[in-house]
Amino acid sequence: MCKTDHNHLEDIDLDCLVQEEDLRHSDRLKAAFRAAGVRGIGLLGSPGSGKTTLLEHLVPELMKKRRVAVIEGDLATDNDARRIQAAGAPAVELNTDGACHLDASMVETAFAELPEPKPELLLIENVGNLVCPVDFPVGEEIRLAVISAAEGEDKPLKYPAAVLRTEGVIITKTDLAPYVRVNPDKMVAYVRDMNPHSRVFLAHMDAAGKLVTEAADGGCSLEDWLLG
Amino acid sequence: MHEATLAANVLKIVSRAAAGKENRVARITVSVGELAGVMPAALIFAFNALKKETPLDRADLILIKEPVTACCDDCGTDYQPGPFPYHCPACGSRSFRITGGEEVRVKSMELKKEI
Repeated sequence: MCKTDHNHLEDIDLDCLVQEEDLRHSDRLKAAFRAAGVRGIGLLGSPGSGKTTLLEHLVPELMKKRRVAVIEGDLATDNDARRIQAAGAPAVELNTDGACHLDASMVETAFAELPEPKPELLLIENVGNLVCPVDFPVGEEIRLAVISAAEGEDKPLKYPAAVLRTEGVIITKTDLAPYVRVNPDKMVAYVRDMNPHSRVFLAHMDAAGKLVTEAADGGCSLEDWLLG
Repeated sequence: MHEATLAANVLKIVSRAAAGKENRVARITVSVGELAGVMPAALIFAFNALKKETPLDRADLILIKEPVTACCDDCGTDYQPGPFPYHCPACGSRSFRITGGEEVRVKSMELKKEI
């Protein structure tokens, strides 16, 4: 569709998604994962929201039901991959050297580095960032936004894309809520207003240092939801 | 921060579309969804930095805002919501799906005769 006007200008309609290539790559990766019997789960959230701690505690539980592996994304260090390995699962660390998000090609490379046999459940922890990773799917079936109570009650409202464009939200560190004057129920209500289809979970550590999670709507457990 | 990646993609898409054309690209229009999580000033800054020493170095980037649209889960009405919580204007339901305002799209390019 071209037209030429009197000033020798030519307008050309393109109507093309700026991230078409990223999205296509993610779709290809998702299809390859499915064909290989791999269910990808993406985790995204701010630095310090508790993503790695969540995985450290979930991995041993999930490993009772499926072969599990983890891809960790950080700007630098392999600290998180080592924490996951210590929890018992194979893990590959992706260092982005400053980039604010993982992309599908990075995850594809990291997946190839995972030892055989490949996992049935692949957990992908993105770079700590509540904004950019939302725009870059990496072949996951579902994405989970991790938001800690300590980040503030209105965090979901302030970072809408993380709530609107993920399938679930887990509000962590709810045991800290009274100290940071946050009402976790209000955070749940904000998420509900913003994305009525989101699965919402609450998580905290008990006195023995064990992770306790609960579905805010009383539905299936976090573990079962991740297992699919 | 990821605006640089998006700006590089815009340049890639337009370079490809403009390849082989006699006229030069004077203007590129990109729509940015209100929920896309993109900072317009950062996108323009990144675009202007990355276009240097490319065939698009004289192209201007024009951003237009794409409003949020939602579709009511209960009665199917399409609407443009206000701030959260969203309410369907027809039936008042608070259950909805987002149908627009999440994307960044290269809408068009405008070519000018090379002088």
